[in-house]
Amino acid sequence: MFAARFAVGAAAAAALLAATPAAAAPTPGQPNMQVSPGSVEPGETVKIVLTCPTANGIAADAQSEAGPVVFGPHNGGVFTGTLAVAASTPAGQYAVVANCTSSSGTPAPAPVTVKTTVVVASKTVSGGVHTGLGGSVSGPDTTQVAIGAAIATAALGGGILLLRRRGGSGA
Amino acid sequence: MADAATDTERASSAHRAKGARSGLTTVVLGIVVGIVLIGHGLAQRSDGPPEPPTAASVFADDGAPTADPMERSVPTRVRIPAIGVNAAMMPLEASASGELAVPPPDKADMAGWHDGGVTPGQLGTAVVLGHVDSRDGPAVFYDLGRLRKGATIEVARKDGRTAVFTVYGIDMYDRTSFPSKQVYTDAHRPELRVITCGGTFTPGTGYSSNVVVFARLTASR
Repeated sequence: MFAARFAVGAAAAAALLAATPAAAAPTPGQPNMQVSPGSVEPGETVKIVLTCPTANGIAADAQSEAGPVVFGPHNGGVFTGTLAVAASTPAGQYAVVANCTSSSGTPAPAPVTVKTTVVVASKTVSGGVHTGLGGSVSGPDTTQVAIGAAIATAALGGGILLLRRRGGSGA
Repeated sequence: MADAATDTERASSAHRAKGARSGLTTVVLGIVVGIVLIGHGLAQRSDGPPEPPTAASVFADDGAPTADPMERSVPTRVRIPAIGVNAAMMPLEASASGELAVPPPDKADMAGWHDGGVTPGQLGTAVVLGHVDSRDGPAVFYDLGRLRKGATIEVARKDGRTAVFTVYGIDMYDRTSFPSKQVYTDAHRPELRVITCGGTFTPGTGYSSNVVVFARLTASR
């Protein structure tokens, strides 16, 4: 009873474990490629793990417009490499295309291809910007106000004089 | 003889009346001109550019659907019909410390974009900025603070296509506590930020704040 329960539990756990990475799990006979991190800034490096179908005399290569890809020697068909994203690479999404080739068998099997994407993110920007020189902020035009006041005062003074003189001549 | 005297008197009286009338006209004209000058002089006072409503919420991502991302292509013009903006664009770089450059003072009628980032329409967050004013007066993004949710921003690109964005938020942030991550970090959908200055202007240090408009790609053509 216990054994049976344990077996069911173990099976469920195994199924769960298998289910979680299922989307990324390599299909037997098909290559698989993982990039980490999936998003980098220009000048940074992406780690690539390429799993090729196991065969004798296996080799791999990969290309990307984001930068050169270099693989080390494989370990049981698993290649670990780097994609060096050039500092001048514009931000955007870039495809990485890898080929697994095998020299065993006659004729040699056709190379298998696997594709994935890396995101070259926008360069880090921080802080606000200095986008104003203050020309739209101003106090009142004091010169204009002063001239206006002077003219108005003079006119008023002249008017008073004029009225007085008229009053005098009328008497 | 008496007639002649009366004539002279009458003429002199008419002359006096005429003189008084033209004197009064001058007086009234002088007062009017003076008052107009005073009013116009006082009207030169300006407290600065328009600001978005206070206590605006935080806009990370409003969750609304966007149009499909576009390929990379550098922007050439930005148009914001609601505030009458139609400006040419220049590329701008960030300094080593990450501060974005701005268009030179004599190009305050142009907008700029961060060319170290994605281009408007691409997946991620494109950044566009411009001056609120020059030394002489209002500049390209003077009215940015007037923009409201739902307004349209169009960016013409070198590939001949136009990225159409819809504003989903606008806020003003103090430059000393600017939320860089929220404003600049690449979104998981095609977004745009349009930034200019705002707040209080202090000679020497400039404006205290930045106005930031948040928009998402809603069409491309």
